[in-house]
Amino acid sequence: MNSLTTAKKIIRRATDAFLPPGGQIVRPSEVAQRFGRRLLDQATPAIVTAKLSAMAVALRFKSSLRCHLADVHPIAGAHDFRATIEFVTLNGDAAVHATFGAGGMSVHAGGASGADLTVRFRDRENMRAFFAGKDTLDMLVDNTLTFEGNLSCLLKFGHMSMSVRLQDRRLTPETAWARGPSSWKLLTAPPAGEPAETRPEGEVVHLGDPHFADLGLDDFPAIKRLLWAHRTIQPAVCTERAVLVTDYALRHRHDGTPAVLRQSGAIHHVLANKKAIIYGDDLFAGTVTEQRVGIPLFPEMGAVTIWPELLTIEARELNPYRITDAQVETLNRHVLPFWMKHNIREWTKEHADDKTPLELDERFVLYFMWKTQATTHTVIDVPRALSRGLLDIQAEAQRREADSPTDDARAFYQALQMALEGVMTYAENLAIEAERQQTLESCRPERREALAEMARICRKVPAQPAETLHEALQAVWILFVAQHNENMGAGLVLGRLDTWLNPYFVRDMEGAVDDDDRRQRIYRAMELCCALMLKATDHLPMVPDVGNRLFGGSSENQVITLGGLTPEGGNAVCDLTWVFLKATEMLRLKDPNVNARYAPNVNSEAYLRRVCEVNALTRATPSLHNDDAVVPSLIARGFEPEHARDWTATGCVEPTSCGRHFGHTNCMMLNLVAPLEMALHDGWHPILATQVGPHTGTADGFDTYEAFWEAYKAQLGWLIDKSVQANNMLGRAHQTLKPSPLFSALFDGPMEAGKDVTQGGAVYNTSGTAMVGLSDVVDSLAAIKLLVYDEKQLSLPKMVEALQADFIGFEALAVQLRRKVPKFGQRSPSTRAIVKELQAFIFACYQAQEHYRGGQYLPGYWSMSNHVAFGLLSGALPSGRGRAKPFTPGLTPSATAAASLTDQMREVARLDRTHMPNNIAFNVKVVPGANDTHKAIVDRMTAYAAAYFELGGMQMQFNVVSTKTLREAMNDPDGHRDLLVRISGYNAYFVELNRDIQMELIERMDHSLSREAS
Amino acid sequence: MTRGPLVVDIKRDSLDDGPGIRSVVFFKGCPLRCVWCHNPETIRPQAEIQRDPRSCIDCGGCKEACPQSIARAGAQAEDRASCDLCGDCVKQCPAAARRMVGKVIAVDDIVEQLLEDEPFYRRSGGGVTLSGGEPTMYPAFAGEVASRLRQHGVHVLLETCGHFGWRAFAKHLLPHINTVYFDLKLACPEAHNTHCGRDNYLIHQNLARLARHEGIDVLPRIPLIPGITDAEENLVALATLARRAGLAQIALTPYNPLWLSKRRGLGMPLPYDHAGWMSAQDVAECEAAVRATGLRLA
Repeated sequence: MNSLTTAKKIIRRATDAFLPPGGQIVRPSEVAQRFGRRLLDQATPAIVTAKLSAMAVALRFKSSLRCHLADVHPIAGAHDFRATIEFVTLNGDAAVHATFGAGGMSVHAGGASGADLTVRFRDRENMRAFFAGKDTLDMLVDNTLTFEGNLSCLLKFGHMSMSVRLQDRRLTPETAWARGPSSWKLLTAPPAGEPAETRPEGEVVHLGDPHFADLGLDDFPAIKRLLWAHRTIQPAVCTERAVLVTDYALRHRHDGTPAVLRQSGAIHHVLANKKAIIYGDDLFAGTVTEQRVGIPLFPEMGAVTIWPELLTIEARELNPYRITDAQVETLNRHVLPFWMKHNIREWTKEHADDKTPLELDERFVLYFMWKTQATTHTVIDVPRALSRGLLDIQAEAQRREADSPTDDARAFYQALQMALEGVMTYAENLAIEAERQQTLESCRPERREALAEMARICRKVPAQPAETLHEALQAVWILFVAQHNENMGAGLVLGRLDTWLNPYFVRDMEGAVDDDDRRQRIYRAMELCCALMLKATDHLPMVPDVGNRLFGGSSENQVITLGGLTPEGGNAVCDLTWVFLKATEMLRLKDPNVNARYAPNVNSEAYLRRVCEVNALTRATPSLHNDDAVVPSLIARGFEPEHARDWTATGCVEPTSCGRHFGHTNCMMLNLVAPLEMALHDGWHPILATQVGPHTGTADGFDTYEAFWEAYKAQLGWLIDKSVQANNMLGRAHQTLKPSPLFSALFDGPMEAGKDVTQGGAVYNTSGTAMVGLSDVVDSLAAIKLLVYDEKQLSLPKMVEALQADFIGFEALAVQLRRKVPKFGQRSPSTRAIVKELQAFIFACYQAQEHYRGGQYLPGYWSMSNHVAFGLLSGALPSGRGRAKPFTPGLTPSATAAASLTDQMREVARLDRTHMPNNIAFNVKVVPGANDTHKAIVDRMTAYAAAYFELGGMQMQFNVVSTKTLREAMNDPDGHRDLLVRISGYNAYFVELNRDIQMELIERMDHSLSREAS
Repeated sequence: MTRGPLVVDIKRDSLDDGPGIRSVVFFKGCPLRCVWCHNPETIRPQAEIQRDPRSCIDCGGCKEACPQSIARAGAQAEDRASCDLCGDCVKQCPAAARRMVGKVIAVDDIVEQLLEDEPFYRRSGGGVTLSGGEPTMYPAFAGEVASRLRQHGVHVLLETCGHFGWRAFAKHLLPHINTVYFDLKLACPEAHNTHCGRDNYLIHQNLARLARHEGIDVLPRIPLIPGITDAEENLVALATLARRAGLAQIALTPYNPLWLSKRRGLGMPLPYDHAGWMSAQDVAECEAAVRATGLRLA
C-alpha cells in the first residue's frame, strides 16, 4: 500500500507538471509538442512509475487479471509470480523497479540489486516507447532494449501489460481471414510441362511419359481438395501438446526419474493421448496438431516468446494465427508459467559459468542460436523403420536392456522402448478412429472402404514392416507426426522418398494384371505422393511477430530430396523421382522444400532437364545440388563414401547423411559483417553501442591492409568462439533436459552405442553453421584494400566517417564503391584472393572447436532470410551498401557487381567446396522473355545448370520470375497467393513476406533468359 | 595493319548474338560508316573515350584530372580534337561514367578468357561470336583466335558487314568459322554509298562467294532502319540477291533506338535520328515482303 501511495503522489506530480487541465492521459507525442522532448525526458521516471502503478492497481483489483499474480493449477496447486524487474536506462540515470510476489505488485523508484530481470533501454525515449506498448521483441532486435536475467520474465511482463492495456480482451483483425477461392473446384490448375522426349534407361521403368504431361491437378480431385484446404485455411494455435507436456512434467517433476525416461514418458504421454484425427478428405490418418493447420507449441523450448502476443496474434498483419480465449487462458495460466525457468534458454543461462555467449545471442546482431528452439534439422533412418517395423526395433532395445550392466544403460533402452510404444499407440488410436468413422451413418460407401483400408494399414504400420507404397507412406507420415511431437519441427526431413519408397512402388506395379490396372496403380501412386506432401502442410512452426521480420514467410522446411547417387554410387533416379517431380509441379508448395540432387555422368541429362522444367513451371523449386561437389565435401570430413553418397538436404540446403548423422545443420546463423564493423571500431559495435569484441586497434592505427585483415580475423575468430561456446552450452542443456529417445530409437548408432543422440549416439556427429553476408564482407575488404591501402585515395578513418554518415556528404565515394571497386562474382583476382583466405580462415576456426557431442563444426554459406534481418541491424559498408540494407542472400554476388551470369557461376563454382561442407545457397533470378517458348526457357536453364555443375558448383536455385510480376504481387496480394519464390534455401509465398524481404527479392539482379534485345 | 587490333569488349553470357550461350568479342574499327550504327564505339580503329551522361554524378573530377582541361561533366560538349587519350579522366571518374574504349589484348589472353565459359557454350549449343566493328579488318588476328577456339571444339560465329578483301579472309579466317551472320543493308549501290559510306559491290560479291563455300552456314541479316532499309523494294531486292546466291534463309533485325545515347557519349554527330521503336505491324510488313521472295525467315 505504501508504494501505491508513493506512486499516486508521483502521478499527481507528473499530472500537475505535464498534463493539461482536465487531467486525462495524454499521448507522449502531444506532450512533446507542447513541452518539448527535454521536459518529457525529465518526466520519464515519473511516467514509468505511473504506468507501472496503474498496472499494479489493475492487476490487483480487476478480478480477471488477478491470475497473473497468483493462481491455482490443478496439478501444481497454488503458485504466484515472484520476481523483481528493474527498468533502467543504459547510462543508469533513470531507474524504476517493480516487485512481484505474494499475489501483489509494488513499484519503487531506483534500481534493485539482485533483480531477476534488468531491462535496459538505450535512452529515456525508448523507455517511454516500451511503456507505450512498443513490441518487446522488436525492441530487443533493434537493441533499443537489452536485458540481463530471465527473458521469460520479460515476456510474461509483456503479456501482463498487454492484458492491462487491452482490459484482457483479444484484438481481432480488422478484416476477417479470407483466402479464395470459395470452393475447391474453382482452384485453377497450373500449366503442365511438355512430354518427355526420351525415357532414360534405368531411370524410367514402369511409367509411360515420365513428365505426365497429359495429367494435371484437375485429374486429381482428391488432391485438389487437399490443396484448396492448404491455400485457404488459416493456421491456428494448438495447445494440445503444450498442455500434455506440461501436465506430464508437473506430475513427474519431483520423482527423480532420469531425464531420458522423463522424456520418453513425456513423448509416450503425448502420443498416446493426442487426439487421433482423420479428416473427411484425408488419404492418410493422423495430424501433427489438433487443428487443421496447427501451430504446435514447445514450452520447454521457445514457446514463451508467444506470451506477449497472446492477445494480439490474431490481429497481426503478417501470418496471423487463430486463437481462442480459452487457449489464451490455458497458455497463460496452465502452461507458460511453469516453464519460465525450465526452458532450454533459461536453464542454460542459469547453469552457465560465463553467460556472455548466451547474452550475445540475445542481442540478435551477432548470431542467432537455433538450439534455444530446436535441435531438429536432421533425419531419421526411414528405410530401417519401414523394413523392420518398430516392434522389431523395440525388441532389440528390450534385448539390449536385458544385457545392460548399468542402471543408466537400462534406462536408456527402456526409454527407446517407451518412445516407440508411444508411436505404436498413436497408430492404433488412428486405426480405432478410422473404424469409428466407418460406423457413422453419414459415411458414404466409398469412404467406408477407404477408412477400412486406412484402419488396416494403421494396425499394421509402423509397428510391422510396410509392404505396399500406401503402407510405407502412411508409416512415414506417422513417424513424422511422432517426431514433430517430440521435437519442435524446425527442419525435420522427409528425406530421399524417391529411392526409399521406389521398391514398394515396384512391388505394387508387379501385381498389375493389365495396362489399365498399371495406369491406375501409377495414378494411385501419384495421388498418394501428393497427399503426403500436402499432409506435411498441416502444421507450421510458431513464429513470434519479430520472427516475421527475421525469418519472413519461412515454414518448417521439410526437405524431400530427389535423385543423385545411391549409397553404392549407382543411379538413384527412379520411377518415383519423376512422380515426385510431377507432384512438385502440380502442387507448387512452399513446403515440403524439394531439393534435387544431380550426379553428372550418372543421372541422365533428361532428368536434369526435367528438374529445370519443374523449376521453370513452379518458378522456385526444386533447388539443384551437385553430387560431384557435395559428396567429396562430406568425404573430406571423414564420412565413409557410401554414407557421403547417401545424403539428403536438410532445412535449406545442408547435407545430412541419412539416418546416421545427427548434424544440427542449422545450429547457428552468424553475421560475418558484424566483426567487420567491430574491426573498424576497435571491438565496439555501432548498433549494440557497446564494446563487445576484443580491442584490435582503431581505424587510424592500421598501416597496411594485412594489419586490418588481422583485426578482422581477430574479431571474427572471437565471435566464432563465442557462438560455439553458446552452442555447446545449449547442447549440454539438451543433454540434461531434453534427451531425444524417439530420435535415438529411430537413428542408426544410438542403439549400438547405448547413447542418446544428444550425447553423441549417432554414427556421425556435427553441427552446421550458416555464415551470412560473405559477399558483403569480401566486397568491403576489397574496397578497403584498393582505395585505402593500394591506391591511398582515402584514409581508413575517413572511410569510417563516410560509413557513419551513411555516405551522406560522401556521395561520390558511395558511387565509386558501388561501381569501380572489384566485387565478388566478377572476374577479379583481388576478390578471389580475399574470399579464398576468408573461407579458409572460417573453416580452420570451426575445425579447431571442441564439440559437445564429440563431433565437428561444419560451416556453410546460406542465410534463410537472415541476410535481410542482419542487414537491418548493420551500418553502411565499404562495399557501398547503405545502412540497414539487406546483405546478399546466401553467397550470391551482390547485384551491384552487375556480373554476367556466367561470370557469377564461374566465380561461385571455383570456391573451395571442402571449406563449405554445410553447403551454399546461390540464388539466380532469371527472367524469361514474353516471346520465349517453354522449350527454349528450359533448354537455357538446363544449360546453365549443367555447365555450372561441370565447373564444380555445389548448389544453385533459380527464381524464374520478373521484377514486374513481383511488383504486381505487392499491389495485388490476393491475385498472387500461390506465387512461389525462393529466398535463400527455402521457399515462401511472396505475398506472405515482409516488405523488406519482398524488396530484397525485387532488387536481386535479373538475368535475362530472353533473346530479345532490351 | 601493322599494330594489333583493338578490342572494345568481351561480352559474356550473350543470348543475342547467335545460338546458345555465347561470348562476343567486339573488335574496334569498321570500313563502313552506317549512319545508324548501333555500336558507334566500334567504328574508329583508334582508342577513344566514351561517356555515359546518365551515369555521371557531375562531381567535376574529370575536368580537374584532365591535364588539358578538356573534360566536361555530364553531356556538355568536349573538344575531343586535342584529347591525347591519356586516360586520367577515366581513371578518376568515381561513377565509371567514362571508359576508355579499345584495348590491346594478346591472342592468348583473349582465348584464355573465352575458354573460361566453354562449358556454357557446349551445354547450350553456343560458342563465340566475333563481332565489332569488323573482325575481317584483322583477318590474321581474328583467324588466330578462331582457330585456337576451334581446336577446343568451340563453335565460332562471325558477324560481318561483308566489306572485306576475299583473299586474306579466305586464307586466315574462313577455315575456322562455323557460321557467318552477313549483314545486307541496301541493294542500291548509290544509296549504300550515301548511308554506309561505301558502295555494296564488294559486299554482294563476298556474299555470293561465301554462299558457294562448302561447310559454312551463312545467314544474311537485314537491319530494319526506318526510312532507309525498310522500303519494300529494298527488302525484296536484298532477299532476291540472297536467294540467287543460293541461300534459303534470311533474318530481319528490327530497329533499336537505344544506340542514340551511345553515339552522343562519344561526341559524335547524329546523322540519323530516329527515336522510336518499330511497331509490330511495321515489322510484320517487312517480314511479309521478304517471305514473298521465297526465302524463309530465320
